[in-house]
Amino acid sequence: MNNMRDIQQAGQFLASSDAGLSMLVGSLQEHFREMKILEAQLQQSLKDIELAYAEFRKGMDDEIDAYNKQLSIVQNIVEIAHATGSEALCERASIQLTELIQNRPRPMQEAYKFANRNK
Amino acid sequence: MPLPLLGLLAIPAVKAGLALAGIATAGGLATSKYAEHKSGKQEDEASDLLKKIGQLDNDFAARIQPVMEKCLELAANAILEADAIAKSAGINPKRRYDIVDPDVDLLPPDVKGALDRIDNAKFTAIGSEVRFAEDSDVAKAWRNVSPGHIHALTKLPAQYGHLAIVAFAGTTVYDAGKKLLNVRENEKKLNILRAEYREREEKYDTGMKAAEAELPILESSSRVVLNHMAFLAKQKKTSQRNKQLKVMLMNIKALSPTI
Repeated sequence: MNNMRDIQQAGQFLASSDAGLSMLVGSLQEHFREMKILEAQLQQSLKDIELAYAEFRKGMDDEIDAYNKQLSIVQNIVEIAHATGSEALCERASIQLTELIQNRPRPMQEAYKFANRNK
Repeated sequence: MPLPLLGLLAIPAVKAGLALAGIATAGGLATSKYAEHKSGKQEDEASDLLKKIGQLDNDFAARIQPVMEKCLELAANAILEADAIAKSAGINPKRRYDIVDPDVDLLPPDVKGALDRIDNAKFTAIGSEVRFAEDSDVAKAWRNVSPGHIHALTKLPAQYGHLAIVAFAGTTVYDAGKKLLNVRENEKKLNILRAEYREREEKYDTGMKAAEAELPILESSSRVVLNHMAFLAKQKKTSQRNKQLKVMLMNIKALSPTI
Protein backbone atom coordinates (compact mmCIF):
# COMPACT_ATOMS: atom_id res chain seq x y z
CA MET A 1 0.00 0.00 0.00
CA ASN A 2 2.75 2.37 1.03
CA ASN A 3 4.74 1.37 -2.01
CA MET A 4 1.82 2.19 -4.27
CA ARG A 5 1.49 5.65 -2.75
CA ASP A 6 5.23 6.22 -3.03
CA ILE A 7 5.20 5.35 -6.71
CA GLN A 8 2.16 7.57 -7.29
CA GLN A 9 3.85 10.53 -5.56
CA ALA A 10 7.07 9.88 -7.42
CA GLY A 11 5.11 9.98 -10.67
CA GLN A 12 3.45 13.27 -9.74
CA PHE A 13 6.79 14.75 -8.81
CA LEU A 14 8.37 13.64 -12.06
CA ALA A 15 5.42 15.01 -14.00
CA SER A 16 5.54 18.41 -12.28
CA SER A 17 9.29 18.75 -12.86
CA ASP A 18 8.87 17.72 -16.46
CA ALA A 19 5.98 20.17 -16.90
CA GLY A 20 8.14 23.04 -15.60
CA LEU A 21 10.89 22.22 -18.03
CA SER A 22 8.47 21.82 -20.94
CA MET A 23 6.89 25.16 -20.08
CA LEU A 24 10.26 26.84 -20.13
CA VAL A 25 11.25 25.27 -23.44
CA GLY A 26 7.84 26.19 -24.88
CA SER A 27 8.15 29.81 -23.71
CA LEU A 28 11.60 30.13 -25.21
CA GLN A 29 10.53 28.63 -28.52
CA GLU A 30 7.51 30.92 -28.69
CA HIS A 31 9.63 33.89 -27.72
CA PHE A 32 12.22 33.42 -30.44
CA ARG A 33 9.54 32.64 -33.02
CA GLU A 34 7.69 35.87 -32.19
CA MET A 35 10.89 37.90 -32.09
CA LYS A 36 11.69 36.67 -35.59
CA ILE A 37 8.19 37.66 -36.78
CA LEU A 38 8.62 41.11 -35.22
CA GLU A 39 11.98 41.53 -36.94
CA ALA A 40 10.43 40.58 -40.29
CA GLN A 41 7.54 43.01 -39.71
CA LEU A 42 9.98 45.80 -38.91
CA GLN A 43 12.04 45.15 -42.04
CA GLN A 44 8.85 45.23 -44.11
CA SER A 45 7.70 48.52 -42.54
CA LEU A 46 11.09 50.12 -43.17
CA LYS A 47 11.03 48.90 -46.76
CA ASP A 48 7.48 50.26 -47.23
CA ILE A 49 8.50 53.65 -45.87
CA GLU A 50 11.56 53.87 -48.12
CA LEU A 51 9.61 52.78 -51.16
CA ALA A 52 6.77 55.25 -50.53
CA TYR A 53 9.18 58.19 -50.25
CA ALA A 54 11.24 57.07 -53.23
CA GLU A 55 8.07 56.96 -55.33
CA PHE A 56 6.98 60.35 -54.08
CA ARG A 57 10.36 61.92 -54.88
CA LYS A 58 10.34 60.36 -58.34
CA GLY A 59 6.87 61.84 -58.95
CA MET A 60 8.09 65.23 -57.73
CA ASP A 61 11.11 65.13 -60.07
CA ASP A 62 8.94 64.13 -63.03
CA GLU A 63 6.53 66.98 -62.32
CA ILE A 64 9.38 69.49 -62.12
CA ASP A 65 10.85 68.21 -65.39
CA ALA A 66 7.48 68.60 -67.09
CA TYR A 67 7.18 72.12 -65.67
CA ASN A 68 10.63 73.09 -66.95
CA LYS A 69 9.71 71.90 -70.45
CA GLN A 70 6.44 73.87 -70.30
CA LEU A 71 8.31 76.94 -69.04
CA SER A 72 10.70 76.78 -71.98
CA ILE A 73 7.78 76.62 -74.46
CA VAL A 74 5.97 79.54 -72.81
CA GLN A 75 9.17 81.60 -72.72
CA ASN A 76 9.50 81.14 -76.49
CA ILE A 77 5.91 82.30 -77.00
CA VAL A 78 6.57 85.37 -74.81
CA GLU A 79 9.76 86.22 -76.70
CA ILE A 80 8.01 85.98 -80.07
CA ALA A 81 5.09 88.06 -78.75
CA HIS A 82 7.47 90.75 -77.52
CA ALA A 83 9.51 90.70 -80.73
CA THR A 84 6.49 91.02 -83.00
CA GLY A 85 4.38 93.19 -80.67
CA SER A 86 1.36 91.23 -81.86
CA GLU A 87 -1.60 91.83 -79.53
CA ALA A 88 -2.99 88.38 -80.24
CA LEU A 89 0.31 86.74 -79.40
CA CYS A 90 0.65 88.89 -76.27
CA GLU A 91 -2.77 87.77 -75.11
CA ARG A 92 -1.86 84.18 -75.88
CA ALA A 93 1.36 84.60 -73.89
CA SER A 94 -0.57 86.09 -70.96
CA ILE A 95 -2.95 83.13 -70.90
CA GLN A 96 -0.08 80.65 -71.09
CA LEU A 97 1.78 82.45 -68.34
CA THR A 98 -1.27 82.52 -66.11
CA GLU A 99 -1.69 78.80 -66.57
CA LEU A 100 1.99 78.21 -65.99
CA ILE A 101 2.08 80.07 -62.70
CA GLN A 102 -1.22 78.62 -61.50
CA ASN A 103 -0.26 75.06 -62.36
CA ARG A 104 3.35 75.24 -61.27
CA PRO A 105 4.57 72.36 -59.13
CA ARG A 106 4.31 73.01 -55.41
CA PRO A 107 6.86 70.59 -53.98
CA MET A 108 6.76 71.96 -50.44
CA GLN A 109 3.00 71.74 -50.20
CA GLU A 110 2.93 68.29 -51.77
CA ALA A 111 5.76 67.01 -49.57
CA TYR A 112 4.00 68.31 -46.48
CA LYS A 113 0.74 66.66 -47.49
CA PHE A 114 2.53 63.41 -48.26
CA ALA A 115 4.48 63.40 -45.03
CA ASN A 116 1.24 63.83 -43.10
CA ARG A 117 -0.78 61.40 -45.20
CA ASN A 118 -1.51 59.08 -42.30
CA LYS A 119 -2.37 61.73 -39.75
CA MET B 1 4.29 10.36 6.68
CA PRO B 2 7.85 11.72 6.56
CA LEU B 3 9.49 8.32 6.41
CA PRO B 4 7.80 7.03 3.28
CA LEU B 5 8.42 10.41 1.61
CA LEU B 6 12.08 10.21 2.52
CA GLY B 7 12.05 6.83 0.88
CA LEU B 8 10.99 8.56 -2.32
CA LEU B 9 14.53 9.78 -2.83
CA ALA B 10 15.57 6.20 -3.42
CA ILE B 11 13.18 5.89 -6.35
CA PRO B 12 14.81 6.53 -9.77
CA ALA B 13 11.77 8.53 -10.95
CA VAL B 14 12.27 10.99 -8.11
CA LYS B 15 15.92 11.35 -8.99
CA ALA B 16 14.94 12.05 -12.57
CA GLY B 17 12.33 14.53 -11.33
CA LEU B 18 14.90 16.34 -9.27
CA ALA B 19 17.25 16.51 -12.22
CA LEU B 20 14.46 17.94 -14.41
CA ALA B 21 13.56 20.48 -11.74
CA GLY B 22 17.21 21.44 -11.52
CA ILE B 23 17.43 21.93 -15.27
CA ALA B 24 14.20 23.94 -15.25
CA THR B 25 15.53 26.16 -12.46
CA ALA B 26 18.87 26.73 -14.14
CA GLY B 27 17.11 27.34 -17.48
CA GLY B 28 14.60 29.68 -15.86
CA LEU B 29 17.32 31.71 -14.21
CA ALA B 30 19.34 31.87 -17.42
CA THR B 31 16.24 32.89 -19.37
CA SER B 32 15.50 35.61 -16.82
CA LYS B 33 19.04 36.90 -17.19
CA TYR B 34 18.66 36.94 -20.97
CA ALA B 35 15.31 38.77 -20.70
CA GLU B 36 16.69 41.33 -18.26
CA HIS B 37 19.70 41.98 -20.47
CA LYS B 38 17.54 42.27 -23.58
CA SER B 39 15.08 44.55 -21.78
CA GLY B 40 17.94 46.81 -20.73
CA LYS B 41 19.23 46.99 -24.28
CA GLN B 42 15.72 47.76 -25.56
CA GLU B 43 15.39 50.61 -23.08
CA ASP B 44 18.77 52.00 -24.12
CA GLU B 45 17.84 51.81 -27.80
CA ALA B 46 14.48 53.51 -27.17
CA SER B 47 16.03 56.40 -25.30
CA ASP B 48 18.73 56.69 -27.96
CA LEU B 49 16.10 56.74 -30.72
CA LEU B 50 14.05 59.40 -28.94
CA LYS B 51 17.16 61.54 -28.62
CA LYS B 52 17.98 61.02 -32.30
CA ILE B 53 14.42 61.89 -33.31
CA GLY B 54 14.64 65.13 -31.33
CA GLN B 55 17.94 65.87 -33.05
CA LEU B 56 16.41 65.16 -36.47
CA ASP B 57 13.54 67.57 -35.71
CA ASN B 58 15.91 70.32 -34.64
CA ASP B 59 18.28 69.81 -37.57
CA PHE B 60 15.43 69.89 -40.04
CA ALA B 61 13.95 73.05 -38.56
CA ALA B 62 17.36 74.73 -38.72
CA ARG B 63 18.04 73.61 -42.30
CA ILE B 64 14.65 74.41 -43.76
CA GLN B 65 14.20 77.81 -42.17
CA PRO B 66 16.63 79.76 -44.41
CA VAL B 67 15.34 78.03 -47.56
CA MET B 68 11.75 78.86 -46.66
CA GLU B 69 12.69 82.43 -45.84
CA LYS B 70 14.31 82.79 -49.27
CA CYS B 71 11.18 81.40 -50.96
CA LEU B 72 8.91 83.73 -49.04
CA GLU B 73 11.16 86.71 -49.60
CA LEU B 74 11.23 85.96 -53.31
CA ALA B 75 7.43 85.73 -53.39
CA ALA B 76 7.12 88.96 -51.41
CA ASN B 77 9.51 90.81 -53.69
CA ALA B 78 7.73 89.51 -56.80
CA ILE B 79 4.45 90.81 -55.38
CA LEU B 80 5.98 94.21 -54.71
CA GLU B 81 7.48 94.32 -58.21
CA ALA B 82 4.16 93.32 -59.79
CA ASP B 83 2.44 96.07 -57.80
CA ALA B 84 4.96 98.60 -59.06
CA ILE B 85 4.53 97.49 -62.68
CA ALA B 86 0.74 97.63 -62.32
CA LYS B 87 0.96 101.15 -60.91
CA SER B 88 3.27 102.26 -63.71
CA ALA B 89 0.70 100.90 -66.15
CA GLY B 90 -1.98 103.02 -64.48
CA ILE B 91 -3.65 100.09 -62.76
CA ASN B 92 -4.61 100.45 -59.12
CA PRO B 93 -3.40 97.19 -57.66
CA LYS B 94 -5.59 97.57 -54.52
CA ARG B 95 -2.86 96.09 -52.48
CA ARG B 96 -3.84 93.32 -50.18
CA TYR B 97 -0.36 93.04 -48.73
CA ASP B 98 0.61 95.99 -46.56
CA ILE B 99 3.94 96.03 -44.88
CA VAL B 100 3.12 96.57 -41.24
CA ASP B 101 5.95 94.93 -39.39
CA PRO B 102 9.28 96.71 -39.89
CA ASP B 103 11.12 93.72 -38.43
CA VAL B 104 9.97 91.35 -41.09
CA ASP B 105 12.16 92.49 -43.94
CA LEU B 106 9.55 93.36 -46.54
CA LEU B 107 7.45 90.29 -45.82
CA PRO B 108 3.73 91.03 -46.23
CA PRO B 109 1.52 89.81 -43.34
CA ASP B 110 0.04 86.90 -45.31
CA VAL B 111 3.48 85.70 -46.27
CA LYS B 112 4.75 86.20 -42.75
CA GLY B 113 1.75 84.19 -41.55
CA ALA B 114 2.74 81.38 -43.88
CA LEU B 115 6.27 81.45 -42.52
CA ASP B 116 4.98 81.27 -38.97
CA ARG B 117 2.74 78.35 -39.87
CA ILE B 118 5.66 76.49 -41.36
CA ASP B 119 7.76 77.30 -38.35
CA ASN B 120 5.07 76.03 -36.02
CA ALA B 121 4.32 72.92 -38.03
CA LYS B 122 7.93 71.80 -38.55
CA PHE B 123 6.54 68.70 -40.12
CA THR B 124 4.75 67.85 -36.88
CA ALA B 125 6.35 67.38 -33.50
CA ILE B 126 7.18 64.14 -31.79
CA GLY B 127 3.98 62.22 -31.25
CA SER B 128 5.24 58.84 -30.31
CA GLU B 129 5.78 57.96 -26.75
CA VAL B 130 7.23 54.68 -25.72
CA ARG B 131 6.89 53.33 -22.27
CA PHE B 132 8.40 50.15 -21.11
CA ALA B 133 6.58 47.96 -18.67
CA GLU B 134 8.42 47.60 -15.47
CA ASP B 135 9.50 44.20 -14.37
CA SER B 136 6.73 42.23 -12.84
CA ASP B 137 6.36 42.21 -9.07
CA VAL B 138 7.13 38.55 -9.14
CA ALA B 139 10.39 39.27 -10.90
CA LYS B 140 11.32 42.01 -8.48
CA ALA B 141 10.45 39.92 -5.47
CA TRP B 142 12.29 36.97 -6.85
CA ARG B 143 15.42 38.95 -7.52
CA ASN B 144 15.35 40.40 -4.03
CA VAL B 145 14.64 37.29 -2.07
CA SER B 146 16.31 34.59 -4.06
CA PRO B 147 19.49 34.26 -1.94
CA GLY B 148 17.36 34.06 1.19
CA HIS B 149 15.02 31.71 -0.55
CA ILE B 150 17.85 29.37 -1.45
CA HIS B 151 19.08 29.52 2.10
CA ALA B 152 15.58 28.74 3.35
CA LEU B 153 15.46 25.73 1.10
CA THR B 154 18.55 24.30 2.77
CA LYS B 155 16.83 24.68 6.13
CA LEU B 156 13.77 22.72 5.14
CA PRO B 157 13.45 19.22 6.45
CA ALA B 158 14.88 16.86 3.87
CA GLN B 159 11.55 15.23 3.24
CA TYR B 160 10.10 18.54 1.94
CA GLY B 161 13.19 19.51 0.03
CA HIS B 162 12.22 17.99 -3.28
CA LEU B 163 8.76 19.59 -3.16
CA ALA B 164 10.33 22.97 -2.50
CA ILE B 165 12.68 22.39 -5.40
CA VAL B 166 9.76 21.86 -7.74
CA ALA B 167 8.08 25.01 -6.41
CA PHE B 168 11.35 26.88 -6.83
CA ALA B 169 11.69 25.66 -10.41
CA GLY B 170 8.06 26.59 -11.11
CA THR B 171 8.52 30.13 -9.84
CA THR B 172 11.70 30.55 -11.84
CA VAL B 173 10.07 29.32 -15.01
CA TYR B 174 6.96 31.48 -14.44
CA ASP B 175 9.11 34.54 -13.80
CA ALA B 176 11.23 33.89 -16.89
CA GLY B 177 8.07 33.52 -19.00
CA LYS B 178 6.76 36.88 -17.79
CA LYS B 179 10.06 38.54 -18.58
CA LEU B 180 10.16 37.05 -22.05
CA LEU B 181 6.66 38.40 -22.63
CA ASN B 182 7.81 41.87 -21.54
CA VAL B 183 10.70 41.67 -23.96
CA ARG B 184 8.29 40.96 -26.81
CA GLU B 185 5.96 43.78 -25.80
CA ASN B 186 8.94 46.13 -25.60
CA GLU B 187 10.08 44.97 -29.02
CA LYS B 188 6.68 45.85 -30.52
CA LYS B 189 6.89 49.37 -29.09
CA LEU B 190 10.47 49.67 -30.16
CA ASN B 191 9.53 48.68 -33.72
CA ILE B 192 7.05 51.55 -33.82
CA LEU B 193 9.80 53.90 -32.72
CA ARG B 194 12.32 52.46 -35.20
CA ALA B 195 9.82 52.92 -38.04
CA GLU B 196 9.02 56.43 -36.81
CA TYR B 197 12.70 57.33 -36.88
CA ARG B 198 13.11 56.00 -40.43
CA GLU B 199 9.93 57.81 -41.52
CA ARG B 200 11.28 61.08 -40.12
CA GLU B 201 14.61 60.65 -41.85
CA GLU B 202 12.81 60.17 -45.17
CA LYS B 203 10.28 62.89 -44.42
CA TYR B 204 12.94 65.48 -43.66
CA ASP B 205 15.17 64.51 -46.59
CA THR B 206 12.16 64.83 -48.87
CA GLY B 207 11.09 68.08 -47.18
CA MET B 208 14.51 69.60 -47.80
CA LYS B 209 14.58 68.41 -51.40
CA ALA B 210 11.11 69.89 -51.91
CA ALA B 211 12.04 73.21 -50.30
CA GLU B 212 15.17 73.46 -52.45
CA ALA B 213 13.13 72.69 -55.57
CA GLU B 214 10.52 75.32 -54.66
CA LEU B 215 12.83 78.32 -54.99
CA PRO B 216 13.79 77.92 -58.70
CA ILE B 217 10.14 77.22 -59.56
CA LEU B 218 8.94 80.38 -57.83
CA GLU B 219 11.81 82.35 -59.32
CA SER B 220 11.36 81.16 -62.91
CA SER B 221 7.58 81.42 -62.99
CA SER B 222 7.46 84.85 -61.36
CA ARG B 223 10.36 86.21 -63.45
CA VAL B 224 8.78 85.33 -66.79
CA VAL B 225 5.42 86.74 -65.69
CA LEU B 226 6.97 89.96 -64.36
CA ASN B 227 8.92 90.44 -67.61
CA HIS B 228 5.74 90.08 -69.60
CA MET B 229 3.91 92.45 -67.27
CA ALA B 230 6.68 95.01 -67.68
CA PHE B 231 6.41 94.66 -71.45
CA LEU B 232 2.61 95.07 -71.38
CA ALA B 233 2.86 98.06 -69.05
CA LYS B 234 4.72 99.92 -71.80
CA GLN B 235 2.11 99.08 -74.43
CA LYS B 236 -0.86 101.19 -75.43
CA LYS B 237 -3.52 101.32 -72.73
CA THR B 238 -6.41 99.10 -73.79
CA SER B 239 -8.99 97.20 -71.80
CA GLN B 240 -7.50 93.96 -73.09
CA ARG B 241 -4.01 94.91 -71.91
CA ASN B 242 -5.35 96.02 -68.51
CA LYS B 243 -7.26 92.79 -68.09
CA GLN B 244 -4.15 90.74 -68.83
CA LEU B 245 -2.12 92.83 -66.40
CA LYS B 246 -4.72 92.45 -63.65
CA VAL B 247 -4.97 88.68 -64.09
CA MET B 248 -1.20 88.29 -63.91
CA LEU B 249 -0.99 90.67 -60.96
CA MET B 250 -3.50 88.58 -59.02
CA ASN B 251 -1.56 85.42 -59.81
CA ILE B 252 1.68 86.95 -58.61
CA LYS B 253 -0.10 88.04 -55.43
CA ALA B 254 -1.07 84.44 -54.83
CA LEU B 255 2.57 83.35 -54.97
CA SER B 256 3.62 81.48 -51.89
CA PRO B 257 5.38 78.20 -51.29
CA THR B 258 2.49 77.10 -49.09
CA ILE B 259 -0.47 78.08 -51.29
